[in-house]
Amino acid sequence: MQNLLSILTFTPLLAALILAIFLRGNDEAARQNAKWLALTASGATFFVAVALFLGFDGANRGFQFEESRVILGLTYRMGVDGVSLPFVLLITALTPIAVAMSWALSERVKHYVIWLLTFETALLGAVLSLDLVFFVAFFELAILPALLLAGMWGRMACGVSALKAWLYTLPGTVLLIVAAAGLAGEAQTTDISQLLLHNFSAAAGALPGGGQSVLWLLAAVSVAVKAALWPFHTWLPGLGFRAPLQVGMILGVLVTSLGLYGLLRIHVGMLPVATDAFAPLLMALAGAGLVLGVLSALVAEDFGRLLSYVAVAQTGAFVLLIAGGTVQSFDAIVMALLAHGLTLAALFALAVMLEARGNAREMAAFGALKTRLPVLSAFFLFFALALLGAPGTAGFVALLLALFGLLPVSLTAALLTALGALLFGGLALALYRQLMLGPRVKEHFKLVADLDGRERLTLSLLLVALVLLGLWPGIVLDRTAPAFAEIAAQFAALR
Amino acid sequence: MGLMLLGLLLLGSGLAWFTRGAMSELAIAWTCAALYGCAALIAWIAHLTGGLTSAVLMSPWIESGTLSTELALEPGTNGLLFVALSLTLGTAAQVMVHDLPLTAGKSKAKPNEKARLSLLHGLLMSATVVFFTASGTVQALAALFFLAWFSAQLAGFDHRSQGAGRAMQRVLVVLVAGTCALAIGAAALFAARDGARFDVLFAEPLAGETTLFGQAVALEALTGGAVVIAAATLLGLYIAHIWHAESALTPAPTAALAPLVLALAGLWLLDVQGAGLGEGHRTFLGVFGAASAIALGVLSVLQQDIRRAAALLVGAAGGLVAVSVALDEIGLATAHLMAQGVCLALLLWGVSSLVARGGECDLWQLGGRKAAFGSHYGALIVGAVGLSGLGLPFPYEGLLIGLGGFASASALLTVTHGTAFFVPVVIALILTSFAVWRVVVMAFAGAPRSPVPEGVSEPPVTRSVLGVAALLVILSALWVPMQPVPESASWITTVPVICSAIGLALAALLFAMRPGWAKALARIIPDTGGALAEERLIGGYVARPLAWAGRTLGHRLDGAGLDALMTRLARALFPALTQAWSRLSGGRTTPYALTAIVGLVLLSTILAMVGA
Repeated sequence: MQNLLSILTFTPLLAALILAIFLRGNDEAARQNAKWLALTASGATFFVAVALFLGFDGANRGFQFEESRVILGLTYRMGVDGVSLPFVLLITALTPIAVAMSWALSERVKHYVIWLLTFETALLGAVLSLDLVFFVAFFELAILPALLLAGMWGRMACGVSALKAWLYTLPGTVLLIVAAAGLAGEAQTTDISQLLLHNFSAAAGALPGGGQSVLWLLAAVSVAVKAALWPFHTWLPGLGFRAPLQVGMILGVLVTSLGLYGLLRIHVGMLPVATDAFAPLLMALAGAGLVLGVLSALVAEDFGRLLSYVAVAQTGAFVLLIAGGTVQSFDAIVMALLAHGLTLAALFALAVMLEARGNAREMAAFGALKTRLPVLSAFFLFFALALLGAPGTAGFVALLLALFGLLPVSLTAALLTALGALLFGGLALALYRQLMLGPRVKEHFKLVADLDGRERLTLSLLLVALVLLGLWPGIVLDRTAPAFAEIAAQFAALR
Repeated sequence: MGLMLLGLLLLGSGLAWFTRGAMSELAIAWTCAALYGCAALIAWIAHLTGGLTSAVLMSPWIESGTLSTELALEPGTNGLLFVALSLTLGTAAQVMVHDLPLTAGKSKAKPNEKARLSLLHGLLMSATVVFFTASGTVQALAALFFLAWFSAQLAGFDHRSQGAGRAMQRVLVVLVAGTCALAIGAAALFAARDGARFDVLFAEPLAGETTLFGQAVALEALTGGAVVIAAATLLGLYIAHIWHAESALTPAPTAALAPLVLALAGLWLLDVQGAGLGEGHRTFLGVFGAASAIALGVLSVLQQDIRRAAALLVGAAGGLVAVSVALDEIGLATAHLMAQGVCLALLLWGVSSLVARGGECDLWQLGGRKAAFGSHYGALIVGAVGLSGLGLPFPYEGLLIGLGGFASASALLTVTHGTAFFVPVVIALILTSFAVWRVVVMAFAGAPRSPVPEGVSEPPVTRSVLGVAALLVILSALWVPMQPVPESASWITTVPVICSAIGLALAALLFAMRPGWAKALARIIPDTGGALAEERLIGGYVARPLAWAGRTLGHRLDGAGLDALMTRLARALFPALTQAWSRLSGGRTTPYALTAIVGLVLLSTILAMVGA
């Protein structure tokens, strides 16, 4: 189908424009209209993404559904390949979930959903752009709506935290633009499909990886900040603590995924020699992020900070896999992206539901909920197990593929991954124990109702997706593996 | 037939879950017991006739690159034996569900408690069947995870109790660590061999190496080490004994199920995958096993909770099993575990039932329960005799006269004779004997140290199960293979008896005749086992360092350096920006201003790119 990717990308923005222009008033009806339109638009976007996914030819390693036209002297190109496909699925699946999680919101709902939909368009634009100019523009602009959502709807001087996060990204933006200019200058094109095929100079230099290293390092700052890679992660826990939990999900899952996409597209795809040379550095940072992220989450006292640290740890796990560079480790990235994204989103959703019932975000306010809220407790247990990587969930496949992919390259990385899985397990069960088990239900929970239909539906969809991917990982891997196999072959040739 | 076996177990579980509330709890418990019993019977018939056919359930499950597996039931000879043993244990546990509530201090069963326990029994046994008949690597790892998970669920069964969550967490984390270790070993082999069936995965040592912190590590050492660590975790060797200690909190019917089934799983791993173990691995396993048997004997003696004292003896028996494997005597290891397993099952069920009926688990508060719990007393005496290794030290025409523990201890001492393991095994036997007799003496002998509850009765079903188990303990010597005793060392068969007698004498002296001495010893010996105990281990070496690392390296470090600079900058800029924002908002210019900002950023980006 012609223009499928443009339809996919700009449907949320179109809905945002309709809201901005036509929706007036701030009464309950207006709020409901805004939410329903946002849910419809993001839901429709997801269905378009599913159509794209089903129509995607797994045997074709190149870009598909390509579009190209010249606008104001710039070439607008869109395309999707096995690398960007899982990101499209994750973004389009989680945006309706984010809208559903925000259903109880009553303050400036119209503006909230406008920024949320704009954010989705920016993310999809970054992931689907095949022109470096548009890629960089979408990539750098995507964080602004997310920070506005956090700053304007957060608590306790959230504006300062949002501003701080933006200040973090600014140097990265400048350096990424310089790196992009360098890439385009050397290859004499801004076409990403050409840039991926271009053999960038790896002539010997002072840095490991030769000439590619300069471009690699320039682009790395922006990507590392967005992915919340340790030690560039510090903006995320502070903001997660103050931002609404549903926005915390956007920051912790979608913004970090965007950073990871940048790492895969620019660093791994275009600069493999430098990536291979910097693999030990990446492994060290990723290992530190993974271990310290989970440990910090273990001692965190509120949901926002805790889940943000989980996101930091998950970034560590991803980057460890990228540094692995084998077929299975790339397959593991796809599964981990979806498994961790969906699981973390579900945990954020559960935190929103608990906050609504307990009017608190501190874990100490909860306890012994298994008796009072059995359905919520059952969902919580499932997602805690999914975080641990229980068999039957996508996390198990990701964990196995990770171990199988990393071990031939580095036992250290494999052991770090196993340690991460154990720490995640300890964290998940500690959370479950603190919130759900215990001798006595807190007084204010005695009259609280269990999950309603909307909440059950939201969580059930995430649960079904995790189980489907856990039992039938081939549904995604069959489509993504060929593209990653090509990248893995590049790495294998370098080693 | 394999599918029938799994089907019966899952049918029982499903029935327990879906008919809860609709059927009476007793009907559910007994129907499940019948179904699980049928499964056990089929497993025994299949084992004795070799008639369990393979069945492919899902194929392929995961297929990506070299990672491909199917879900299939393809049992080997020992796999079937272990399936049959596990299902028998499970059936006995399920029969005891009739007598719930069997959780300490509870006056009546909670709604659906029997159905929930029946469900968990069925699921645990299903995972056992899938694990012992695994041909796919992923299948085996998944089954092992579920074994861990259902064991953890059983440990935390009474979720309202204070320690249930902690028990569940610790059991799962320790067992998952073992699963991860096995997964790492399997991953190395899987990658190197381009895929392999689980039952032949470790069959031959693997040449080649990988790197650990830049240092070359031989794959053979890595894969063998993975099997050893996984097996040690399942057997509950020190320091993985933590999960045994925690699983002691489980309801009485399950007390023997999870520890013994997982010990069987550990032994099965060593049996099936043991061909790949090098000399170094075997030595390590032997030393580790002997040290664990001694350490866990000491820890058991120091326990105040009667359930934990009994549970730790499973790990001590596991240590001796590891010693047998180290000496390449897998048949003896199996026989030893089977012989000791029956005694341990009797001990664990008896002790848990005693606690549940009497509501008291502190050994120093028990005592004098002989009259009120006559059947328990008799059963535990049989179990203690079996476990401690009492018997006639003079073989009659090649026949050892004694219970299973005596026969297996004699065989173990015969094979360790002349090796460095002999003395540690003797010490471990003395400690085991002392620990088990201490439990019996402190619980039943002398005068009651706390009032015996009024109107206590011993439920007939529990009594029957204990009776059958006691009978099996008496018959258990039959399945221990005779070891040829060297002419020069015919005295070996006297050693278990001496060890047992020392243990019995010490227990009787310290806890029946001169209890004051035990108290004085406890005062004199300053926290002897403290450094070995799990609370000190977890608190001192795991939980506190992790919390410190999280707080100091995580939170505090996060707020320093780059972050502090950015925060200061943000705080300085924020008022000015807020002021500008409020002016724009007040003048209804917000959309225009935002558009301008977005446009400017976009334009500058484009200009920079075009300029480049």
